Amino acid sequence: MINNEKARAWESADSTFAAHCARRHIPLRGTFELTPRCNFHCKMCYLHQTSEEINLRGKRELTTNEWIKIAEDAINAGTLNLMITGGEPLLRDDFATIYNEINQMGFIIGLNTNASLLDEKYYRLFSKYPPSTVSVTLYGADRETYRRITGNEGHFDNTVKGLEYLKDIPTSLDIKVTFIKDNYHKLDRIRETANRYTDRFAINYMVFKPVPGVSSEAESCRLSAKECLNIDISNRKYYYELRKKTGTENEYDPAASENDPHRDYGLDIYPEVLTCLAAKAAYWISWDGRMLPCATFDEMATEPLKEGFSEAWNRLPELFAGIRHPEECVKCEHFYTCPNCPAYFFAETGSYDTVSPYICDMVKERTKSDKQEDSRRRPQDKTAKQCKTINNTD
Amino acid sequence: MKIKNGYLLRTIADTNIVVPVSERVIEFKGMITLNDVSADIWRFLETEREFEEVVTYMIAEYSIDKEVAKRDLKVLLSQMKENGILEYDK
Repeated sequence: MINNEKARAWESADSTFAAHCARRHIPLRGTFELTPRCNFHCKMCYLHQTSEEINLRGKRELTTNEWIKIAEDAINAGTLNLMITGGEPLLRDDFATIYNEINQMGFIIGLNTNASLLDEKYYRLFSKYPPSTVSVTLYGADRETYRRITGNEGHFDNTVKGLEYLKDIPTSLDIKVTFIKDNYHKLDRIRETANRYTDRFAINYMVFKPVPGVSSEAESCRLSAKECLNIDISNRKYYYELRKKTGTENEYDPAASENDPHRDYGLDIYPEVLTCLAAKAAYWISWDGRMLPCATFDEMATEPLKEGFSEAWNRLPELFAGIRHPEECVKCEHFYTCPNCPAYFFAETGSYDTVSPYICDMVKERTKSDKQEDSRRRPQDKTAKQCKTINNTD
Repeated sequence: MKIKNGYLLRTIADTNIVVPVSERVIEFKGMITLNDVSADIWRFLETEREFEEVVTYMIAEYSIDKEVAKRDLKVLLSQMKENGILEYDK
């Protein structure tokens, strides 16, 4: 728990430093997507590919040495926070080799995993050299939900086993859940399971169509805008009550959604069309060695191994020179509160300048709910506004 | 005394940052930022030094009085000790 408190203080300092780096175009935050392979077969996954599918597309994963080379280049270019992800990164036979090498270099390392492959071998590795943070994706609180979402009920038992190992590793543990129709009604039980291991519980409810060349059931299994909002509100209410009881209202909010728009900084930095730190202070190296602004921008890439890491990083913002928000979007009253990233538009519509009804519905539903909540909670504000109107009329 | 192994001093965006690596992550979560003078002394302390040796280095490097050097060094060392960063030659 002490570790978690320190991690929270660090997170707040990190945001300020990230803005400082974005203004200097320093690649502070990197993500290494070691593989698109995964032992789970989640129906909504945007990335999952088998070895056969990779071969059929004439592609290959980077080798051990290629990852280590990119890591060395990243250190020299100024990367501090490095997230290791997949697919399932622990599926790589050379995971320990890559991890041991990059662990000595001076990154603050985070690991994304489904936890199901954590065994004695990984327990020993992470006990000796723990990542600063481990984020586990949890899909349900029972075997049946795991069977429906991941394709195998046994994955639930293995995930719990992995979480038991993680409990004893000195790291800051997050548990994240993506909600779709199959686990929509199970928020309370899933959160209860997660809270056995950590109070850092985050939800995601936005499920995008897969990257080109990958098939998924994203569209048929994702929640409606109304359902997304219900689950978000329900989770926030739970934590609001809990924090009120414990007097910790001002501390880290475990209910903060992964889908909250992040517009605190970075909007005025080129390329302005990106509303986060992607291509400004953050990048993503895909499993086949391309540098992307983030996972969702799969079509916009430079080639760090061919052109050099710094050159690839410097060229990344230029790829967005011709991209603008759709006119309809700019004129919209929700423009500044909407997660209207062009990457989302591309994932949903195949075009950067076509508005996505999926995102629009989500934002409109939230605005409607916020207005209802405002009028319910703050009648005095409403009265003040009415008085002002009357005075102005006079 | 010297800085323990496993703390790397990095300069990112003109900011001096100390990052724990390997097993040091267990005992120190997060990072330390240093101003340029502290970073310079940090580098000097990456090999075994006596207190007086560091004071002499500071006087020569920054043209300051011995008393000022001693006072400032004590403050820095006490912060380092508090965070368990120093080790002492037995």
